[in-house]
Amino acid sequence: MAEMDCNEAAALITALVDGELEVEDLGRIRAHLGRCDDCARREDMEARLKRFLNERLAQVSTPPDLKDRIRQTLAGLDEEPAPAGPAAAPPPPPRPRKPLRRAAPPPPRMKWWPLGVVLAVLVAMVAMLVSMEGGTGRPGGELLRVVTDIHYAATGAGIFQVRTHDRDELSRWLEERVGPFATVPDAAALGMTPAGGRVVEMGPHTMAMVLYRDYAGDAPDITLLAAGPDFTWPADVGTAEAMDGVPVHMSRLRDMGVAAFAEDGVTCILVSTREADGMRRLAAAFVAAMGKPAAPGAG
Amino acid sequence: VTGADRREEFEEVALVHLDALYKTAHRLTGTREDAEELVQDTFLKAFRSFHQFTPGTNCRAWLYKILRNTFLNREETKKRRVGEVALDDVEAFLGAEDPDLGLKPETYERMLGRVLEDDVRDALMALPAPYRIVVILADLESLPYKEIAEVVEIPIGTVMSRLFRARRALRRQLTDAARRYGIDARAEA
Repeated sequence: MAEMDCNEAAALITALVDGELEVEDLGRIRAHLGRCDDCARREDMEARLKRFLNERLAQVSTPPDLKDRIRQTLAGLDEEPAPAGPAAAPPPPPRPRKPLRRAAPPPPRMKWWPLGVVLAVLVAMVAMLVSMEGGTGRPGGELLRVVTDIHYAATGAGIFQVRTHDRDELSRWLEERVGPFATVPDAAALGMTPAGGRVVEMGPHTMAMVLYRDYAGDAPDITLLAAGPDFTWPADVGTAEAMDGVPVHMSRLRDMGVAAFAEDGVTCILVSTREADGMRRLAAAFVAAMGKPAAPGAG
Repeated sequence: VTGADRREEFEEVALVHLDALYKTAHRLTGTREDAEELVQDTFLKAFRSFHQFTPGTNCRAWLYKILRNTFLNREETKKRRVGEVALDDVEAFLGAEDPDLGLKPETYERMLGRVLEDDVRDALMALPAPYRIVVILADLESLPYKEIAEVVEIPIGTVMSRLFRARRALRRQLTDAARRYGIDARAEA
Protein backbone atom coordinates (compact mmCIF):
# COMPACT_ATOMS: atom_id res chain seq x y z
CA MET A 1 0.00 0.00 0.00
CA ALA A 2 1.33 3.40 -0.95
CA GLU A 3 2.73 5.69 1.65
CA MET A 4 0.36 8.42 2.64
CA ASP A 5 1.14 11.95 1.58
CA CYS A 6 0.06 15.17 3.29
CA ASN A 7 -2.89 15.70 1.00
CA GLU A 8 -4.33 12.36 1.82
CA ALA A 9 -3.57 12.81 5.49
CA ALA A 10 -5.33 16.17 5.54
CA ALA A 11 -8.41 14.54 4.13
CA LEU A 12 -8.38 11.85 6.81
CA ILE A 13 -7.49 13.82 9.92
CA THR A 14 -11.09 14.83 10.43
CA ALA A 15 -12.21 11.23 10.42
CA LEU A 16 -9.28 10.32 12.64
CA VAL A 17 -10.24 12.71 15.43
CA ASP A 18 -13.84 11.57 15.15
CA GLY A 19 -12.79 7.97 15.51
CA GLU A 20 -14.24 7.09 12.17
CA LEU A 21 -11.23 5.70 10.34
CA GLU A 22 -11.03 2.19 9.00
CA VAL A 23 -8.27 0.07 10.47
CA GLU A 24 -6.03 0.12 7.42
CA ASP A 25 -6.24 3.89 7.08
CA LEU A 26 -5.59 4.22 10.77
CA GLY A 27 -2.29 2.43 10.45
CA ARG A 28 -1.23 4.43 7.45
CA ILE A 29 -2.12 7.81 8.89
CA ARG A 30 -0.43 7.01 12.18
CA ALA A 31 2.69 6.17 10.21
CA HIS A 32 2.43 9.44 8.35
CA LEU A 33 1.84 11.49 11.50
CA GLY A 34 4.87 9.83 13.00
CA ARG A 35 7.14 11.30 10.38
CA CYS A 36 5.36 14.54 9.46
CA ASP A 37 5.35 17.26 12.10
CA ASP A 38 2.99 19.53 10.19
CA CYS A 39 0.31 16.90 9.88
CA ALA A 40 0.83 15.79 13.45
CA ARG A 41 0.28 19.36 14.58
CA ARG A 42 -2.86 19.61 12.49
CA GLU A 43 -4.15 16.44 14.02
CA ASP A 44 -3.39 17.73 17.49
CA MET A 45 -5.21 20.99 16.80
CA GLU A 46 -8.24 19.23 15.42
CA ALA A 47 -8.42 16.93 18.40
CA ARG A 48 -8.09 19.79 20.87
CA LEU A 49 -10.71 21.78 19.08
CA LYS A 50 -13.11 18.86 19.12
CA ARG A 51 -12.63 18.41 22.85
CA PHE A 52 -13.05 22.11 23.39
CA LEU A 53 -16.24 22.29 21.36
CA ASN A 54 -17.62 19.27 23.11
CA GLU A 55 -17.10 20.90 26.48
CA ARG A 56 -18.29 24.33 25.54
CA LEU A 57 -21.24 23.40 23.41
CA ALA A 58 -22.69 21.23 26.12
CA GLN A 59 -23.06 24.16 28.46
CA VAL A 60 -26.71 24.70 27.75
CA SER A 61 -29.53 23.57 29.94
CA THR A 62 -33.08 22.98 28.95
CA PRO A 63 -35.52 25.46 30.46
CA PRO A 64 -37.14 23.53 33.32
CA ASP A 65 -40.70 24.16 32.21
CA LEU A 66 -40.21 23.39 28.55
CA LYS A 67 -41.19 19.76 28.84
CA ASP A 68 -44.44 20.64 30.53
CA ARG A 69 -45.24 23.27 27.98
CA ILE A 70 -44.74 20.76 25.18
CA ARG A 71 -46.89 18.24 27.03
CA GLN A 72 -49.63 20.80 27.34
CA THR A 73 -49.45 21.65 23.67
CA LEU A 74 -49.73 17.98 22.75
CA ALA A 75 -52.63 17.46 25.13
CA GLY A 76 -54.33 20.47 23.59
CA LEU A 77 -54.11 18.81 20.19
CA ASP A 78 -56.37 15.99 21.28
CA GLU A 79 -59.15 18.39 22.02
CA GLU A 80 -59.07 19.98 18.64
CA PRO A 81 -61.62 18.52 16.29
CA ALA A 82 -60.13 19.98 13.13
CA PRO A 83 -56.55 19.21 12.21
CA ALA A 84 -55.87 22.73 11.01
CA GLY A 85 -57.12 24.69 13.96
CA PRO A 86 -55.46 28.03 14.40
CA ALA A 87 -54.19 27.12 17.82
CA ALA A 88 -52.36 24.15 16.41
CA ALA A 89 -49.08 25.75 15.51
CA PRO A 90 -49.63 27.65 12.28
CA PRO A 91 -47.43 25.99 9.66
CA PRO A 92 -45.45 28.98 8.49
CA PRO A 93 -44.86 31.43 11.29
CA PRO A 94 -45.49 34.88 9.81
CA ARG A 95 -42.15 36.21 10.82
CA PRO A 96 -39.96 34.73 13.44
CA ARG A 97 -39.26 37.13 16.18
CA LYS A 98 -35.94 38.71 15.73
CA PRO A 99 -34.11 38.21 18.95
CA LEU A 100 -32.25 41.19 20.21
CA ARG A 101 -28.66 40.45 20.69
CA ARG A 102 -27.26 42.25 23.63
CA ALA A 103 -24.42 44.53 22.69
CA ALA A 104 -23.45 42.08 20.05
CA PRO A 105 -22.44 43.06 16.55
CA PRO A 106 -24.85 42.08 13.81
CA PRO A 107 -24.40 38.51 12.70
CA PRO A 108 -21.48 38.29 10.32
CA ARG A 109 -23.65 37.12 7.47
CA MET A 110 -25.37 40.48 7.54
CA LYS A 111 -22.18 42.23 6.84
CA TRP A 112 -20.58 39.82 4.46
CA TRP A 113 -23.11 39.93 1.74
CA PRO A 114 -23.22 43.71 1.35
CA LEU A 115 -19.50 43.77 1.58
CA GLY A 116 -19.36 41.27 -1.19
CA VAL A 117 -21.57 43.46 -3.28
CA VAL A 118 -19.48 46.48 -2.59
CA LEU A 119 -16.35 44.63 -3.46
CA ALA A 120 -18.24 43.40 -6.44
CA VAL A 121 -17.62 39.74 -6.39
CA LEU A 122 -15.25 39.32 -9.21
CA VAL A 123 -16.21 36.04 -10.46
CA ALA A 124 -19.02 33.69 -9.81
CA MET A 125 -19.25 30.22 -11.07
CA VAL A 126 -22.42 28.32 -11.16
CA ALA A 127 -22.79 24.66 -11.67
CA MET A 128 -26.11 23.02 -11.84
CA LEU A 129 -27.61 19.69 -11.79
CA VAL A 130 -29.94 19.48 -14.68
CA SER A 131 -32.44 16.88 -15.62
CA MET A 132 -32.46 13.29 -14.62
CA GLU A 133 -32.02 10.35 -16.98
CA GLY A 134 -32.46 11.09 -20.64
CA GLY A 135 -33.35 14.67 -19.99
CA THR A 136 -36.81 13.85 -18.76
CA GLY A 137 -36.42 16.40 -16.08
CA ARG A 138 -38.29 17.02 -12.92
CA PRO A 139 -40.76 19.77 -12.55
CA GLY A 140 -38.61 22.77 -12.02
CA GLY A 141 -39.11 26.33 -10.99
CA GLU A 142 -37.54 25.87 -7.67
CA LEU A 143 -34.00 26.19 -6.54
CA LEU A 144 -33.52 22.90 -4.88
CA ARG A 145 -30.44 23.76 -3.08
CA VAL A 146 -27.89 26.43 -2.99
CA VAL A 147 -24.49 25.67 -1.74
CA THR A 148 -22.46 28.73 -1.46
CA ASP A 149 -18.87 29.12 -0.81
CA ILE A 150 -17.38 32.48 -1.01
CA HIS A 151 -13.91 33.59 -0.59
CA TYR A 152 -13.27 37.24 -0.87
CA ALA A 153 -9.92 37.94 0.57
CA ALA A 154 -7.36 35.93 -1.24
CA THR A 155 -8.46 36.56 -4.77
CA GLY A 156 -11.57 38.59 -4.32
CA ALA A 157 -13.49 35.97 -6.16
CA GLY A 158 -16.80 34.48 -5.30
CA ILE A 159 -17.87 31.00 -5.99
CA PHE A 160 -21.42 29.89 -6.10
CA GLN A 161 -22.75 26.50 -6.65
CA VAL A 162 -26.38 26.30 -7.46
CA ARG A 163 -28.40 23.29 -8.28
CA THR A 164 -31.71 23.28 -9.89
CA HIS A 165 -33.68 21.08 -12.18
CA ASP A 166 -34.86 24.07 -14.08
CA ARG A 167 -32.57 25.71 -16.53
CA ASP A 168 -34.73 28.84 -16.73
CA GLU A 169 -34.49 29.21 -13.03
CA LEU A 170 -30.75 29.19 -13.32
CA SER A 171 -30.88 31.80 -16.01
CA ARG A 172 -33.00 34.03 -13.88
CA TRP A 173 -30.71 33.50 -10.97
CA LEU A 174 -27.73 34.37 -13.08
CA GLU A 175 -29.31 37.43 -14.52
CA GLU A 176 -30.11 38.69 -11.09
CA ARG A 177 -26.71 37.95 -9.65
CA VAL A 178 -24.41 38.15 -12.56
CA GLY A 179 -26.19 40.53 -14.85
CA PRO A 180 -24.23 43.58 -13.79
CA PHE A 181 -20.94 41.86 -14.34
CA ALA A 182 -18.84 43.64 -16.87
CA THR A 183 -18.11 41.90 -20.09
CA VAL A 184 -14.59 41.25 -21.06
CA PRO A 185 -13.52 42.51 -24.48
CA ASP A 186 -12.67 39.16 -25.95
CA ALA A 187 -15.52 37.33 -24.38
CA ALA A 188 -16.80 36.27 -27.75
CA ALA A 189 -13.58 34.48 -28.50
CA LEU A 190 -14.22 32.29 -25.53
CA GLY A 191 -17.87 31.87 -26.33
CA MET A 192 -18.85 33.79 -23.25
CA THR A 193 -22.35 35.04 -22.88
CA PRO A 194 -22.90 38.79 -22.50
CA ALA A 195 -23.08 38.24 -18.79
CA GLY A 196 -19.61 36.90 -18.98
CA GLY A 197 -20.62 33.36 -18.52
CA ARG A 198 -20.58 30.31 -20.59
CA VAL A 199 -22.33 27.08 -20.13
CA VAL A 200 -20.58 23.91 -20.98
CA GLU A 201 -22.78 20.91 -21.34
CA MET A 202 -21.14 18.01 -19.67
CA GLY A 203 -23.65 15.26 -19.85
CA PRO A 204 -27.20 14.57 -18.94
CA HIS A 205 -26.79 15.46 -15.30
CA THR A 206 -24.57 18.41 -15.14
CA MET A 207 -23.35 21.49 -16.69
CA ALA A 208 -20.64 23.88 -15.84
CA MET A 209 -20.55 27.55 -16.27
CA VAL A 210 -17.70 29.90 -16.53
CA LEU A 211 -18.32 33.42 -15.41
CA TYR A 212 -15.95 36.23 -15.24
CA ARG A 213 -15.74 39.93 -14.99
CA ASP A 214 -13.30 42.68 -15.24
CA TYR A 215 -12.54 44.09 -11.88
CA ALA A 216 -11.93 47.80 -11.84
CA GLY A 217 -9.72 47.60 -14.83
CA ASP A 218 -7.49 45.11 -13.14
CA ALA A 219 -6.64 41.81 -14.61
CA PRO A 220 -9.85 39.86 -14.79
CA ASP A 221 -10.37 37.23 -12.22
CA ILE A 222 -11.80 34.13 -13.60
CA THR A 223 -13.19 31.22 -11.84
CA LEU A 224 -14.16 28.02 -13.38
CA LEU A 225 -16.19 25.38 -11.78
CA ALA A 226 -16.94 22.14 -13.38
CA ALA A 227 -19.38 19.69 -12.08
CA GLY A 228 -20.40 16.27 -13.06
CA PRO A 229 -20.79 12.83 -11.63
CA ASP A 230 -18.58 11.41 -14.34
CA PHE A 231 -16.12 14.20 -14.41
CA THR A 232 -12.49 13.60 -13.68
CA TRP A 233 -9.98 16.32 -13.84
CA PRO A 234 -7.54 15.71 -16.69
CA ALA A 235 -4.17 15.01 -15.22
CA ASP A 236 -2.32 17.54 -17.30
CA VAL A 237 -4.68 20.44 -16.72
CA GLY A 238 -3.77 22.86 -14.05
CA THR A 239 -0.20 21.84 -13.74
CA ALA A 240 2.30 24.62 -14.09
CA GLU A 241 3.45 23.18 -17.40
CA ALA A 242 0.00 23.02 -18.87
CA MET A 243 -0.55 26.55 -17.74
CA ASP A 244 2.74 27.78 -19.14
CA GLY A 245 3.77 28.75 -15.69
CA VAL A 246 0.73 30.86 -15.03
CA PRO A 247 0.04 30.78 -11.31
CA VAL A 248 -3.19 29.03 -10.58
CA HIS A 249 -4.32 28.27 -7.09
CA MET A 250 -4.33 24.60 -7.66
CA SER A 251 -2.80 23.79 -4.35
CA ARG A 252 -6.07 24.25 -2.58
CA LEU A 253 -8.12 22.27 -5.00
CA ARG A 254 -8.00 19.19 -2.92
CA ASP A 255 -8.65 21.16 0.15
CA MET A 256 -11.47 23.17 -1.03
CA GLY A 257 -12.61 22.56 -4.54
CA VAL A 258 -12.86 18.87 -4.62
CA ALA A 259 -13.58 18.27 -1.00
CA ALA A 260 -16.07 21.05 -0.73
CA PHE A 261 -17.97 20.28 -3.80
CA ALA A 262 -17.79 16.55 -3.97
CA GLU A 263 -21.20 16.63 -2.45
CA ASP A 264 -24.06 14.36 -3.15
CA GLY A 265 -22.24 12.46 -5.79
CA VAL A 266 -21.47 15.50 -7.85
CA THR A 267 -17.88 16.27 -8.40
CA CYS A 268 -17.01 19.85 -8.80
CA ILE A 269 -13.74 21.48 -9.42
CA LEU A 270 -12.84 24.98 -8.65
CA VAL A 271 -9.99 26.93 -10.03
CA SER A 272 -9.31 30.53 -9.46
CA THR A 273 -6.67 32.72 -10.91
CA ARG A 274 -6.04 36.34 -11.66
CA GLU A 275 -4.39 35.42 -14.88
CA ALA A 276 -6.90 35.77 -17.65
CA ASP A 277 -4.73 34.02 -20.18
CA GLY A 278 -4.15 31.16 -17.86
CA MET A 279 -7.80 30.68 -17.31
CA ARG A 280 -8.47 30.92 -20.99
CA ARG A 281 -6.11 28.09 -21.62
CA LEU A 282 -7.51 26.20 -18.73
CA ALA A 283 -11.03 26.71 -19.97
CA ALA A 284 -10.01 25.55 -23.42
CA ALA A 285 -8.36 22.49 -21.97
CA PHE A 286 -11.39 21.89 -19.88
CA VAL A 287 -13.69 22.04 -22.84
CA ALA A 288 -11.40 19.78 -24.80
CA ALA A 289 -11.37 17.32 -21.96
CA MET A 290 -15.12 17.29 -22.00
CA GLY A 291 -14.96 16.42 -25.65
CA LYS A 292 -17.59 18.97 -26.41
CA PRO A 293 -17.43 22.39 -27.88
CA ALA A 294 -18.87 25.22 -25.90
CA ALA A 295 -22.61 25.28 -25.97
CA PRO A 296 -24.55 28.50 -26.05
CA GLY A 297 -25.35 30.09 -22.72
CA ALA A 298 -28.25 29.17 -20.55
CA GLY A 299 -30.27 32.19 -21.28
CA VAL B 1 -55.59 3.72 20.53
CA THR B 2 -56.78 6.74 22.42
CA GLY B 3 -55.16 10.13 22.21
CA ALA B 4 -53.89 9.73 25.74
CA ASP B 5 -52.22 6.39 24.94
CA ARG B 6 -50.58 7.82 21.91
CA ARG B 7 -49.35 10.77 23.90
CA GLU B 8 -47.98 8.55 26.57
CA GLU B 9 -46.08 6.50 24.05
CA PHE B 10 -44.78 9.62 22.40
CA GLU B 11 -43.53 10.94 25.69
CA GLU B 12 -41.73 7.70 26.43
CA VAL B 13 -40.16 7.29 23.03
CA ALA B 14 -39.66 10.82 21.78
CA LEU B 15 -39.97 13.40 24.49
CA VAL B 16 -37.16 11.76 26.44
CA HIS B 17 -34.81 13.25 23.87
CA LEU B 18 -35.84 16.77 24.79
CA ASP B 19 -32.53 17.74 26.36
CA ALA B 20 -30.47 16.60 23.40
CA LEU B 21 -32.78 18.37 20.98
CA TYR B 22 -32.87 21.53 22.99
CA LYS B 23 -29.09 21.72 23.16
CA THR B 24 -28.82 21.22 19.46
CA ALA B 25 -31.55 23.77 18.79
CA HIS B 26 -29.89 26.29 21.05
CA ARG B 27 -26.59 25.90 19.27
CA LEU B 28 -28.27 26.06 15.91
CA THR B 29 -30.34 29.15 16.52
CA GLY B 30 -28.11 30.97 18.94
CA THR B 31 -30.85 32.13 21.27
CA ARG B 32 -32.97 30.59 23.94
CA GLU B 33 -36.21 31.96 22.51
CA ASP B 34 -35.59 30.61 19.04
CA ALA B 35 -34.43 27.31 20.45
CA GLU B 36 -37.62 26.90 22.47
CA GLU B 37 -39.76 27.70 19.49
CA LEU B 38 -37.82 25.34 17.29
CA VAL B 39 -38.00 22.51 19.77
CA GLN B 40 -41.71 22.99 20.34
CA ASP B 41 -42.37 23.00 16.62
CA THR B 42 -40.23 19.93 16.19
CA PHE B 43 -42.08 17.93 18.82
CA LEU B 44 -45.39 19.09 17.50
CA LYS B 45 -44.54 17.93 14.01
CA ALA B 46 -43.07 14.73 15.35
CA PHE B 47 -46.23 14.03 17.30
CA ARG B 48 -48.38 14.62 14.27
CA SER B 49 -46.36 12.25 12.17
CA PHE B 50 -45.65 9.83 14.96
CA HIS B 51 -47.56 7.14 13.08
CA GLN B 52 -44.81 7.28 10.45
CA PHE B 53 -42.14 6.48 12.98
CA THR B 54 -41.14 2.83 12.99
CA PRO B 55 -40.96 1.62 16.56
CA GLY B 56 -37.60 0.21 17.45
CA THR B 57 -35.70 2.38 14.99
CA ASN B 58 -33.55 5.30 16.02
CA CYS B 59 -36.00 7.84 17.37
CA ARG B 60 -33.36 10.41 18.14
CA ALA B 61 -32.18 10.45 14.53
CA TRP B 62 -35.78 10.72 13.41
CA LEU B 63 -36.31 13.70 15.68
CA TYR B 64 -33.09 15.35 14.58
CA LYS B 65 -34.20 15.06 11.01
CA ILE B 66 -37.47 16.82 11.83
CA LEU B 67 -35.59 19.42 13.81
CA ARG B 68 -33.25 20.04 10.94
CA ASN B 69 -36.03 20.37 8.39
CA THR B 70 -37.98 22.66 10.65
CA PHE B 71 -34.94 24.77 11.21
CA LEU B 72 -34.10 25.04 7.53
CA ASN B 73 -37.69 25.93 6.67
CA ARG B 74 -37.56 28.73 9.16
CA GLU B 75 -34.33 29.99 7.73
CA GLU B 76 -36.03 29.95 4.37
CA THR B 77 -38.89 32.05 5.62
CA LYS B 78 -36.39 34.55 6.84
CA LYS B 79 -35.83 35.09 3.17
CA ARG B 80 -32.16 34.81 3.21
CA ARG B 81 -30.81 35.88 -0.08
CA VAL B 82 -29.69 33.29 -2.47
CA GLY B 83 -26.00 33.02 -2.25
CA GLU B 84 -25.79 34.76 1.05
CA VAL B 85 -23.24 33.17 3.21
CA ALA B 86 -21.50 33.79 6.42
CA LEU B 87 -18.52 31.56 6.22
CA ASP B 88 -15.88 33.92 7.36
CA ASP B 89 -13.41 31.33 6.37
CA VAL B 90 -12.07 33.44 3.69
CA GLU B 91 -8.39 32.78 3.44
CA ALA B 92 -8.80 29.14 4.11
CA PHE B 93 -10.41 28.74 0.75
CA LEU B 94 -7.72 29.73 -1.59
CA GLY B 95 -4.07 30.17 -1.14
CA ALA B 96 -3.75 32.20 2.00
CA GLU B 97 -1.66 31.22 4.95
CA ASP B 98 -3.13 29.65 8.00
CA PRO B 99 -1.52 31.49 10.90
CA ASP B 100 -2.69 28.91 13.42
CA LEU B 101 -0.57 26.18 11.98
CA GLY B 102 2.52 27.61 13.58
CA LEU B 103 1.02 27.65 17.06
CA LYS B 104 2.53 25.63 19.83
CA PRO B 105 0.07 23.20 21.34
CA GLU B 106 0.23 24.88 24.73
CA THR B 107 -0.34 28.32 23.22
CA TYR B 108 -3.26 27.03 21.25
CA GLU B 109 -4.72 25.37 24.32
CA ARG B 110 -4.39 28.59 26.26
CA MET B 111 -6.00 30.57 23.47
CA LEU B 112 -8.99 28.26 23.50
CA GLY B 113 -9.11 28.57 27.25
CA ARG B 114 -9.50 32.31 27.03
CA VAL B 115 -12.38 32.27 24.63
CA LEU B 116 -15.74 33.29 26.04
CA GLU B 117 -19.11 31.67 25.71
CA ASP B 118 -20.22 34.49 23.43
CA ASP B 119 -17.27 33.94 21.13
CA VAL B 120 -18.16 30.31 20.72
CA ARG B 121 -21.73 31.21 19.98
CA ASP B 122 -20.75 33.90 17.49
CA ALA B 123 -18.32 31.59 15.75
CA LEU B 124 -20.99 28.93 15.43
CA MET B 125 -23.58 31.36 14.20
CA ALA B 126 -21.18 32.63 11.59
CA LEU B 127 -21.16 29.21 9.97
CA PRO B 128 -23.68 28.62 7.23
CA ALA B 129 -26.48 26.45 8.59
CA PRO B 130 -25.51 23.28 6.69
CA TYR B 131 -22.08 23.42 8.27
CA ARG B 132 -23.33 24.44 11.69
CA ILE B 133 -25.66 21.51 12.03
CA VAL B 134 -23.02 19.00 11.08
CA VAL B 135 -20.49 20.27 13.57
CA ILE B 136 -23.12 20.42 16.31
CA LEU B 137 -24.21 16.87 15.72
CA ALA B 138 -20.63 15.63 15.60
CA ASP B 139 -19.12 17.58 18.46
CA LEU B 140 -22.01 18.26 20.78
CA GLU B 141 -24.01 15.10 20.28
CA SER B 142 -21.10 12.90 19.23
CA LEU B 143 -23.19 11.24 16.58
CA PRO B 144 -21.35 8.85 14.28
CA TYR B 145 -20.92 9.97 10.68
CA LYS B 146 -23.45 7.43 9.53
CA GLU B 147 -26.14 8.92 11.71
CA ILE B 148 -25.25 12.48 10.79
CA ALA B 149 -25.46 11.52 7.14
CA GLU B 150 -28.91 10.11 7.79
CA VAL B 151 -30.13 13.15 9.67
CA VAL B 152 -28.74 15.70 7.27
CA GLU B 153 -29.42 13.53 4.23
CA ILE B 154 -26.01 13.85 2.69
CA PRO B 155 -23.34 11.25 1.91
CA ILE B 156 -20.75 10.45 4.55
CA GLY B 157 -18.04 12.04 2.42
CA THR B 158 -19.95 15.27 2.56
CA VAL B 159 -20.29 15.00 6.32
CA MET B 160 -16.52 14.79 6.48
CA SER B 161 -15.83 17.68 4.16
CA ARG B 162 -18.33 19.88 5.96
CA LEU B 163 -16.86 18.98 9.31
CA PHE B 164 -13.39 19.67 8.10
CA ARG B 165 -14.30 23.07 6.81
CA ALA B 166 -16.62 23.99 9.65
CA ARG B 167 -13.98 23.21 12.24
CA ARG B 168 -11.36 25.10 10.36
CA ALA B 169 -13.63 28.12 10.23
CA LEU B 170 -14.45 27.77 13.92
CA ARG B 171 -10.83 27.45 14.86
CA ARG B 172 -9.96 30.61 12.97
CA GLN B 173 -12.74 32.52 14.64
CA LEU B 174 -11.79 31.30 18.08
CA THR B 175 -8.10 32.00 17.76
CA ASP B 176 -8.91 35.40 16.32
CA ALA B 177 -11.04 36.07 19.38
CA ALA B 178 -8.18 35.01 21.63
CA ARG B 179 -5.86 37.33 19.77
CA ARG B 180 -8.28 40.15 20.36
CA TYR B 181 -7.98 39.41 24.05
CA GLY B 182 -4.31 39.96 23.73
CA ILE B 183 -2.90 36.51 23.43
CA ASP B 184 -0.48 36.97 20.64
CA ALA B 185 0.92 33.71 19.56
CA ARG B 186 3.90 35.27 17.92
CA ALA B 187 4.86 37.05 21.10
CA GLU B 188 4.82 33.74 22.89
CA ALA B 189 6.29 31.59 20.21
